Amino acid sequence: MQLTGPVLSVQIEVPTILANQLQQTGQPAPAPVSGFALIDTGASLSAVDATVIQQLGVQAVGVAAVGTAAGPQQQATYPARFTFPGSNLPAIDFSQILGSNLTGQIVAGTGQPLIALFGRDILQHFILIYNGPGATFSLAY
Amino acid sequence: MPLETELEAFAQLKPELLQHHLGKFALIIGRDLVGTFDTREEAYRAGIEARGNVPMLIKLVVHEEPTESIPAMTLGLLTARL
Repeated sequence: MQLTGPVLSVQIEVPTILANQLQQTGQPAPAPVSGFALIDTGASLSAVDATVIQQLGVQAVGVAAVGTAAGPQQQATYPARFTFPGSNLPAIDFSQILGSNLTGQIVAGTGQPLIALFGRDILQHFILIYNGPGATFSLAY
Repeated sequence: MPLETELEAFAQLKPELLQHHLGKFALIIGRDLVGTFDTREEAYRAGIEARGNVPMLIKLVVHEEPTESIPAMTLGLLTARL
């Protein structure tokens, strides 16, 4: 875990509100995108790889001022639904996730892409225990 | 910049929104203020029902917007190797 950090398997889908609207209008919902999310306690806002957003066809719903070395920059935010395959964590709809460039980030030992960062906006719903000596972590709802 | 038209409209409307809708979420599509709502979810639902899956600005009406911090990305730490 020291190499990869606390990562968990996630599936990112269109938000429930949009999925329902697509269903009502007879349009298929885009297929969910699978990968890994890195738990990042340093991030105040969570982020999803922009290519995932494009695949889902979700449109921007806002902007967030993100602090950079050059000062705050406005970046687009999107809604998204997260599910957690292989765990008993509940699916969660988020109304504001940053679209960012995570392209090329592969989780060591899995060959799977890193597609999301889970920041404190998500972690506020969970109890996170990081066991460094045991090289494990747990996330409870 | 994303949602440039909506951000311009919000900037024009902000004084009035602050006066009457402080703490609410304003929904703007194009230059139109669709409404103000108690939650982001309500605003998004209203936007989807009104116009479908189109770009929209959902913005909390506050005097000063907070700055988000994501050091791993903004400092390039995701790609750093010791």
